[in-house]
Amino acid sequence: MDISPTEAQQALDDIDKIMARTRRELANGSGPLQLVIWGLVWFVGFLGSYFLSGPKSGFLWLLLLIAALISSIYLGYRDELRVRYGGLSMRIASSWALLILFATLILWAATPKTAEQANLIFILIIMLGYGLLGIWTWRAMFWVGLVVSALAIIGYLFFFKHFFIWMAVLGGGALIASGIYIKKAGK
Amino acid sequence: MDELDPVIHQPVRLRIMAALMTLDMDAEIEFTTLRDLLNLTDGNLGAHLRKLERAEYVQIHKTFVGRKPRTFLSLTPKGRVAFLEHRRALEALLQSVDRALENNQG
Repeated sequence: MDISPTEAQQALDDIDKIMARTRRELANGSGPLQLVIWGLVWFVGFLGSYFLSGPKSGFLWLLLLIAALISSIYLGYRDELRVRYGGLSMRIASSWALLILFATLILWAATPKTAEQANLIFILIIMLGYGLLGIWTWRAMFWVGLVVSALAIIGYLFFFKHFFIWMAVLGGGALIASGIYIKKAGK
Repeated sequence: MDELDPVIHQPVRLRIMAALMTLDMDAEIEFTTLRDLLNLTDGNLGAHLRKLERAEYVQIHKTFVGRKPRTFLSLTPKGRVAFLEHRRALEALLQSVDRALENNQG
């Protein structure tokens, strides 16, 4: 089969273009959008922790978490209708459920002295989940987990009194910014 | 040396193969999602998929999601190898042209 160099170049350009588009539109599914949603949850939730009383803040967190979980399950289901990863979605969802269960048990066993300490422990365990997800499937998540963990530790050590507002702006902001960046860059 | 594959070289089939190649090994893409991604019609995509299936490059998996029939598509291992060989053949062709030009200039 003979083709001209121009045709060969055109074919290679087409391949690169289609692969980039597929990666951008499908490879991560709703992942970037979910990062933005969870970033907004953190932003509003931690602002609530900073400005509201304990019970009101707890109620706000409960509402936010239920809304975010429902949206994550819906978006995950919608992804499955477009691209199926051989049961990977179910395994990831189960891993998150297990991690959240263990985070709750660790919090119970550790009996943290302050709400800030309890939140730091929970954040670090959730970010461990991001890191593992990054190692196993979606590489960008590894860095998200690392950066948010570092921000949480810095906030806890150096800005303890304003830890919640720190996490709202920088923790929530980092998740939102990561979601937007990953979507645009197709990482 | 790798050779160009006439089944893959057709522009629409090349785009189908490139899109499927981007997905993980065990991933399958739904028919209408691929159709929209490549801006094709149902008939056009279906016809080219049949040719790729005959060459054993593409696996077509029909199933039901709820009550709706859905068709999922993926590359076979043979299809992945064929695509990589075709791509290498295209690159080799361009490199040989570059070398010929350099020799002529030298």
